[in-house]
Amino acid sequence: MSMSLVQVENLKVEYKVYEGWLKVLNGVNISVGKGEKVGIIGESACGKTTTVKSMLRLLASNGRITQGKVTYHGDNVLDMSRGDLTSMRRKKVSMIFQDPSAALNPVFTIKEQMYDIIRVSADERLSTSEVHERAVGFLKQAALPEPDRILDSYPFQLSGGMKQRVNIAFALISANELLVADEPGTSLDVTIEDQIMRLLKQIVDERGLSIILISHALGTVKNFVDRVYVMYAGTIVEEGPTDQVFSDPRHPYTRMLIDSIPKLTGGGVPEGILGQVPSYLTPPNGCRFVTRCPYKMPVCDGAMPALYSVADGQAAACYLYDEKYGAKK
Amino acid sequence: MRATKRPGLPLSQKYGKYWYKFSRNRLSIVGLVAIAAVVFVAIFAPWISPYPQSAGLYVNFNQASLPPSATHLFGTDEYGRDVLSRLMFGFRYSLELVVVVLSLDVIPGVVLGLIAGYFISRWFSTVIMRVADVFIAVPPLILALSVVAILKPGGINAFLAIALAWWPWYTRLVYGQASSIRNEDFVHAAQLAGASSTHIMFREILPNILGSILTKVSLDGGWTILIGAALSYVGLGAQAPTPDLGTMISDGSAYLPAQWWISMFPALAIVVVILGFNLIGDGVNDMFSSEIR
Amino acid sequence: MSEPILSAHNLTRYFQTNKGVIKAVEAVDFAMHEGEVFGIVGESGSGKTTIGNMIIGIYPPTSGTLVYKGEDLSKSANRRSKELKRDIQMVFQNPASSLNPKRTVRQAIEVPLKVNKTDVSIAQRVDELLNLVELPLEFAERYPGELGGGEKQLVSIARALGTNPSLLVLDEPTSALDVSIQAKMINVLLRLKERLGLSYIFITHNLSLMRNVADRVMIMYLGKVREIAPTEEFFRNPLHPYTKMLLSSIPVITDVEERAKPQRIVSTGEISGALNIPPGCSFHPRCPFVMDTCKSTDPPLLEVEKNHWVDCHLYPNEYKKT
Repeated sequence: MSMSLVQVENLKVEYKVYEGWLKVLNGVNISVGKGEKVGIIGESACGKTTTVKSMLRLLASNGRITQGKVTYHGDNVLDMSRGDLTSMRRKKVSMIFQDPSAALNPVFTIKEQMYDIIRVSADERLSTSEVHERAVGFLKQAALPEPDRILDSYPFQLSGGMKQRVNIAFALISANELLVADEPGTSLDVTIEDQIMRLLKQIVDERGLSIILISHALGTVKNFVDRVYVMYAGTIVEEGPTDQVFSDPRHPYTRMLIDSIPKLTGGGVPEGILGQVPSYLTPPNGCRFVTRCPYKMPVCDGAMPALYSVADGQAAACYLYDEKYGAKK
Repeated sequence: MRATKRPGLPLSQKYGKYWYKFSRNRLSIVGLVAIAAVVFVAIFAPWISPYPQSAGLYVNFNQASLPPSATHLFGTDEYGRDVLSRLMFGFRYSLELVVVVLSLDVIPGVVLGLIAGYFISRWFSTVIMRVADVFIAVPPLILALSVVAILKPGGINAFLAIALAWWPWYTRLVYGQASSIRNEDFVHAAQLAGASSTHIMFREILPNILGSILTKVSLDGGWTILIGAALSYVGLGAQAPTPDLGTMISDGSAYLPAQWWISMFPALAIVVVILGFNLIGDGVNDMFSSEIR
Repeated sequence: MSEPILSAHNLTRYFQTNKGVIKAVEAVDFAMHEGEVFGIVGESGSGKTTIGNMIIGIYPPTSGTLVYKGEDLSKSANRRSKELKRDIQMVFQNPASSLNPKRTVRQAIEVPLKVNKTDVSIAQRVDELLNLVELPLEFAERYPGELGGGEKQLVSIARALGTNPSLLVLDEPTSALDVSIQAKMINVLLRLKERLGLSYIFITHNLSLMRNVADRVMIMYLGKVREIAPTEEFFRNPLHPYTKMLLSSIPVITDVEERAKPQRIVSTGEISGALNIPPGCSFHPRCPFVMDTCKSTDPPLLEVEKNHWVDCHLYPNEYKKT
């Protein structure tokens, strides 16, 4: 069991809006070990991005962490001083965002942006030629041909795939321990996304980095991460080794989610999941999937179910797996 | 099954959200209060000003050039007229200016902008924008000077001069936004459905630009007053004895710095009014922005 | 054999830009029949959206013909006959920009109704349309901002149906939706097709979805058609190397699907920009089976097996019709 690198404990996050408070995260627990590849899957607005942004203290100004702890190497990130936090961001952790264009400043060349990052994350003062050398090195690691031409380009001159690779290069500069990738391939074409994910996997394996991969595309996550967390409406509903969770999903939501993906082998259009995600303004007191669950029991309305172990390393937050309420299949 | 129109959200809820967004920023409320006070004073000046006769032909050399005191809060000018009262009447002129210019300019400016933006590839769109460019290219003061030179200097003509200079800014603003909104899918869908161009311009595109227009209207409250004061300062606006902020500053400038109150208070009044409109404009901008703040 | 409802011959569309000519669509041939779901698949730059836009009439073709029920579609929408405009409608990809954020659902759906008067009252027709797309009638007074992505798309469909069209062009209708909502939307679309006798042009890059929705599939790359085949045949027996590359890079989660994929062809290189289309067969820089002739000669689209068309030098022989 690898040493834990990041631990999120019972994280609760809310956002303030006109109508009140959106109680998004409802006690999220995640752990990532050293060198481990972990995935967070779920549909839109389920809290995946909120979780990782809270971890890195990048929450929007109307967001509040009302409870919980995030520890990095044992230190509480949420309590860290500015200096420690900055040092963590410069040297250890980095993030790749979904929209490759949004992360790049359109009025600066890649060179200008990259040099800044390299200088800031280095321990000692570097000469321009040293910075340039390192920049080229990172671009090459991200499988970018003609690094000098890329350095002189503006973001709008690069294609989506190239921009995302530039973002990966940027992330490599400061991510020596943990990489967070939020839907890195979603806005790219399928064949390009394939390339990018292969590259990312190769880099992560070679450097022994830990990675948190967020996606709503289950297929992308399957071939990449060792362990997966399934999120629904701000709660972790299932977790476990990837192959296990996908081949034998135990939580009703996970099962229905997998069933609603059209199969490449045919079989007609699946049914989908009837109903809607509950409003975060007035979320249910108990299990948040209760409004759409076909196995609903009276106890489900009462309180949030804990994560029950269902198999080796796999757990589901569902009363079906509580001995008191019957272990149904 | 009867097909009736079902009620939507109650009005209070629909518009309550606008007020919420406006009032998030305290300063917007400050601006609103300031301008509300100005408007109140302007409307009721004849009744609430301490010396209403100061606003007209009035001379009282016994009371001339008195510094601010209990009887004359802002002092008196060289003719013995109460500065505060003249200020209050001066607000009337300023607000008249704002109302006249904006009612003359906003609607034609917006309509021209919509037409130019929606029919962007047609010849008349180019014509409209080039004409607007010409008016924008001439500095407003020069434009006003030439208009007033042709007509006589005077209140109404100053209004007209400013109105002539102002409309193209609305056209430009609306043109910029309309020309990009026209490429949105919902406009395509309306075209596909066979909607008329009028419908598309006024019912599909305009509602999305309203926020920018209203923000500009708010800010323009301050700008028109400034330009109006500038015209009056050089003698092209209101003529004596009509009290006007710009004229008061100009007249009083000869007595600076000894009798500072004759120029200073009108100047401060202009600052307050412009600041007020700017703050309101900020609030209006917030009202129409869709941020989750 | 029934007459095709929509056929394209040598359909071409170029765009003039200050950087040069973009050859968005080049010499495309295809035909679709009434009641069919005709799928067009491709990545960015393939030209699939351009074809959809030409069918709708956002712009006319640069050359070639596009014939719908006997009428030539080569005029852009403003100059088409009213019946034609009414008969072909579109559902757009982005639910957020398909609906005017300042207008209610009712106002959005009314737009086509006000122009195309029927004997039923407008309010009644709005209710009918909401029922057709299986949305609750209360939604009529809501604003798009209060609806979820799937609901917005259903409103777009209701609006499109307002003119009683026969052909719907669906440009990536579910790409912006979550998987669980996507299924509902597709089911509504398929039910509508049966109920109203519609034909669909279904444009998407999601091949798993295409597999379960389309009757025939056409795959495009850089403006040209590469392969057309009935769905079953397309997936069971893909011929064009690009088709194989695309199919092999789809992420799937079950082993069954994994085995059904063609052997892995790792995609390399970038998709060429539309301004620098390679000569000969424009796929040749990325093709693992490239031959000399591919670099200089553009292969023709041939029917190499019954109803299965490919344009690739690997398949130079048309099948013999007996």
